[in-house]
Amino acid sequence: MSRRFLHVPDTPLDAGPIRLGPATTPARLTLSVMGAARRYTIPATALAVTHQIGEALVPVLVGVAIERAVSTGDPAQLVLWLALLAADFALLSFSWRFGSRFAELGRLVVQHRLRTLVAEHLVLRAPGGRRASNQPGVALSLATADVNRLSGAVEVSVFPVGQFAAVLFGGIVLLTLSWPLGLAVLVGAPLLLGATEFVGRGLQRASGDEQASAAAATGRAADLLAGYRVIRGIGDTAADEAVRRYRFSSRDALDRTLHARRADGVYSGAMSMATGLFVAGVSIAAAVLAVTGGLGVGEFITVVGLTQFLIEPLQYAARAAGSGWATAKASAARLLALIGESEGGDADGPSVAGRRTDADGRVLQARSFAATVSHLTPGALVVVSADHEIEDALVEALRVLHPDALFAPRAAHLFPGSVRDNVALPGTEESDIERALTAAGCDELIENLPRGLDTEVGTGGSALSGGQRQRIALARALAQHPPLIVLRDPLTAVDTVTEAAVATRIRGLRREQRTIVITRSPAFAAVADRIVGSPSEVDG
Amino acid sequence: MRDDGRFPVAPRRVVLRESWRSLGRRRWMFLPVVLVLTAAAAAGVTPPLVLGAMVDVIEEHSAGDADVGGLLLLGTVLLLAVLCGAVLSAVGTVATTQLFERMLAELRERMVQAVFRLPQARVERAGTGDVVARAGDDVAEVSDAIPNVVPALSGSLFTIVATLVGMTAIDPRYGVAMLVVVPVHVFAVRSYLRTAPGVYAAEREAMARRTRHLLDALHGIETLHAFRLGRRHVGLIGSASWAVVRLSMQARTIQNIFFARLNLAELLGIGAILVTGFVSVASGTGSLGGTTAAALLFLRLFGPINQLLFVVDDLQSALASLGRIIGVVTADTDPDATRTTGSATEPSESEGGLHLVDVHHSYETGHRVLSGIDLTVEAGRSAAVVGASGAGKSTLAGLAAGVHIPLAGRIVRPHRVMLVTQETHAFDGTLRDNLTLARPAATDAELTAALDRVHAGPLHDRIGLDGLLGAPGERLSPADIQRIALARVILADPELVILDEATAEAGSRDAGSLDGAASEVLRGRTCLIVAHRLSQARGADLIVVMESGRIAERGRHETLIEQGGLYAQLWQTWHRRFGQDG
Repeated sequence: MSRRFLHVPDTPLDAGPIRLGPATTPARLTLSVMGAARRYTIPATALAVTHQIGEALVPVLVGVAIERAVSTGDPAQLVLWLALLAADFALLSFSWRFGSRFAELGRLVVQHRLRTLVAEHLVLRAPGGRRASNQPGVALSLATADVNRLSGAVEVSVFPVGQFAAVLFGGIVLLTLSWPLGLAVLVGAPLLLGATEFVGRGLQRASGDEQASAAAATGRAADLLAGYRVIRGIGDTAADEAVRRYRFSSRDALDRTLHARRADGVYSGAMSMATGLFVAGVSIAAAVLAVTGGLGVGEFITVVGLTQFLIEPLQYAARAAGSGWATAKASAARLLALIGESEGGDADGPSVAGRRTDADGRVLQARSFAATVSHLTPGALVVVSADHEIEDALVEALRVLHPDALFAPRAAHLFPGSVRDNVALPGTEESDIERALTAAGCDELIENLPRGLDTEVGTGGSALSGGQRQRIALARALAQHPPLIVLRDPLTAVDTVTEAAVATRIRGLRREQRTIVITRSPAFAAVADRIVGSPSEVDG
Repeated sequence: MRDDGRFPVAPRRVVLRESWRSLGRRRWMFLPVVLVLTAAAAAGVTPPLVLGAMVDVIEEHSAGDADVGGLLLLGTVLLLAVLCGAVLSAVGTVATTQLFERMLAELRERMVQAVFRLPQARVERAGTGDVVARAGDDVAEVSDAIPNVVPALSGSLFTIVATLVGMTAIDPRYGVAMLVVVPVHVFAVRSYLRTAPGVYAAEREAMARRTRHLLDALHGIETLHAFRLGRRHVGLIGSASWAVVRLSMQARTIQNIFFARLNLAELLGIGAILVTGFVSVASGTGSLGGTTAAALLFLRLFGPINQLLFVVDDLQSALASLGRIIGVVTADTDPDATRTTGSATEPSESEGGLHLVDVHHSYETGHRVLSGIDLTVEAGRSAAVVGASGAGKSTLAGLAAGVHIPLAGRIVRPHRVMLVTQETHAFDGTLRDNLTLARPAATDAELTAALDRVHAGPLHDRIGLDGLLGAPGERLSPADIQRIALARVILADPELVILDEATAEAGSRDAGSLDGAASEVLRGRTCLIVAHRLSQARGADLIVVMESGRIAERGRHETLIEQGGLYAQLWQTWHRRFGQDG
């Protein structure tokens, strides 16, 4: 049964709901992440408890074996207690084997769900605005490191519970042997846990700092590599300078990490000292009880063995619960900041608002342009000759008037894969693709590529020249066959002769649909039905 | 991206060598750290020995004449051992962790340095996405492993050794009994290491794929929105993410089999100690206290052994990540790197001119991009390359700049060369940061002067040298970003400038002004201009017309017009249509 339950299918398993809204607090998000894996964490926790109790029984059984077998010299007793010990090991081994798999699956399922949620936020939100997470490195760090750390919270609800159960079980055994010792463990342990939570707060701050700084270093590396060709083009000075700048942020990250590690070291040193002294104190008290006749030798061994065993679960329960929770919460806070950022600072954010008077004039001009071009008859091709400054406002205004139009981005970005993968988007008709490729002037381009349509374009289209990228991006837009298309300077990197030919072909291709081209290129002006913008601004 | 171009993963031997090397002068720290950790381990095995001694005291005095004073003395030793153990192991662990953190910082810096020192063509072939994943994911992987792996290695290893020493000290027979567990551990670890690394490598590879999908989406976010492809890409990221889940579970299953075997070893070990104790006590050669101490020592060992073997796991993945980081660091010594350099003789330096002699090039075997190119640009002169897209113009520019090394032929160029392509990038940072890349020591006056010369005065006035650009700052038009690139040419002051359609992506509106800025920058320098507007070519000292990878015509504007060939034809078409533009 558990085999089937633990089977990982090809398609993602469902997690419970995760609250990820603007009003969510980090603690609440962390809790809902823990709750989302309930289906797995409940059996996992039950098995973790069994496992830990099995572990706690080991010193008890060893103590009894020493008292009943080793000190008496009775071989039958030795065989009996060894057999019970073997049975206990079978139990603890089995429960770990499946319990830990349940816990891992729960953590991974939730992690996958969280990653998908974060990816949706990053990818589906409107581009633009001034957001730290626009930097791919920062976004990447959120979607990987922070998601991993937050999903680690799932384990906080499993293993520390099992470990705490071991402490409880051990305490009860101790209570039956000697009530003062049992009481000392049962009261002392929670006090230690409380103290850890208190100390753990400082650790959370250090951990947050460390992650922010590590993300900054990752972001810097990503940014420098994104501008790799620009830097290499400048020459060795720039390459050295880039390396120097990366080194600077890496050193900053290192300093913060070292600081966090020191805090971590002080924390765990204090922890092991506190628990160690606690166990030593219990042992000394048990020894005193033994010589004063309150405890037998075998009982003393059981008390000492059990208390010694309990150090680990005590330490780990406190640590995993304390720092695991703290780390998860720090990452939860960063992910929530991302959600807040995506919802608050959108495209029309501070960059426009800062220069309101200027922007107002432009927006008005853009709106009047947009109004002028928006009543197009099918088949019309209109060229808008607009300043770069009003271009964005114009596109925004057109977007409001024609939400269904295809607005081809200015930058010709291609995705890794073949030329065909880039042009043949899902749902595109083969005939449209053929026609679009021809219209965009890709026919001879494809002939010149080593593997034709199946040539890989490389990361960001790096295997192609700028002009090739632009024409493939144009073909991709044209192949969509949209009733209204808005192109922005689509052929700037293409030679003049080809540009003129492509403009003419686009004219021919779109005889039934409407086309708006924002450009000052004479090639498009030559084939336009209408040119919007002051005539003096149009060349030719 | 084809797989064969990726950076290699460094083998274990190289990882060890480079890690050690990157510690630099801090290597001497190892000795004191080892001493502290040994002392901590010794303090750690003391409590069970003290407790064994307590059992003997209790046994001797079971009649009732309690030696409470002796017990309290032992108790004091116990408390002291706990105190010293905690302090020493904390100090040792922090020191070791810091050593490794410094090592990692050094390695990631060396990796970025290597990326900028390697032949550019080599890095392009590997894909910058792969490099970003290594600089991000893999560095994070190692960084996350350090706080788990390092204390386990430093603490547990020492504890295990100290325990074995302690046990033999109680009675050598216990030491011998311990040997029972060795074959089980060896078998468990060996079969684990046989299956686990493959799964971990696959897991890591799947994580890299997930990162690539994510980065692709983040870089192409505008395109995703325009074509409503966001959902599809989220789907791609999702299935890459689920592939990681499946592999991680596979890894967990392998790990659990490993742990089951460790449990078996624990059972055998404790059984062996009990049987040994039974025999020695029965024969009167050992004490109950000795058995107790040995059993307690062994029980204490479960944690450290598990912790150590547990991190074999994290250690494996950290080493895999380190291998990927160091694979880049050491890529220059890798024979694979030389494949892109072809068979041509290394270019030598000229006195300011550019000379290409019988240059041939292709990116893939059998598909020739350039053949038989002979071109000379004398110092201080300008040459323009024209031709249809795909004629090989950019390849020619890349060869001239040294981005690619030709398959055959000879290229001589001056020492300081700068290439500006149509690819624009505004770096995260201030306008000043963007400019000083070209000349780190430049003064503000020099920066301002350079901006003015490329007609970027308005840009300067608008955002100032301290204004932020890039993702967190001002979004600039491609023309403005290119003006900054041209200002960098002035600051870098190279002898040879190659403009590969540098002013192309500017948009039609800014073309004239940018071309003006470009000619300002080029004045007095040797230059090669890949022109896509014939107006740029007209004034050049030499015009080269390319067709299908060959030079079809060459000469000055007037000469070529008179010849009535391909150039004249191009000019006529262009002039008739857009004559006023020039």
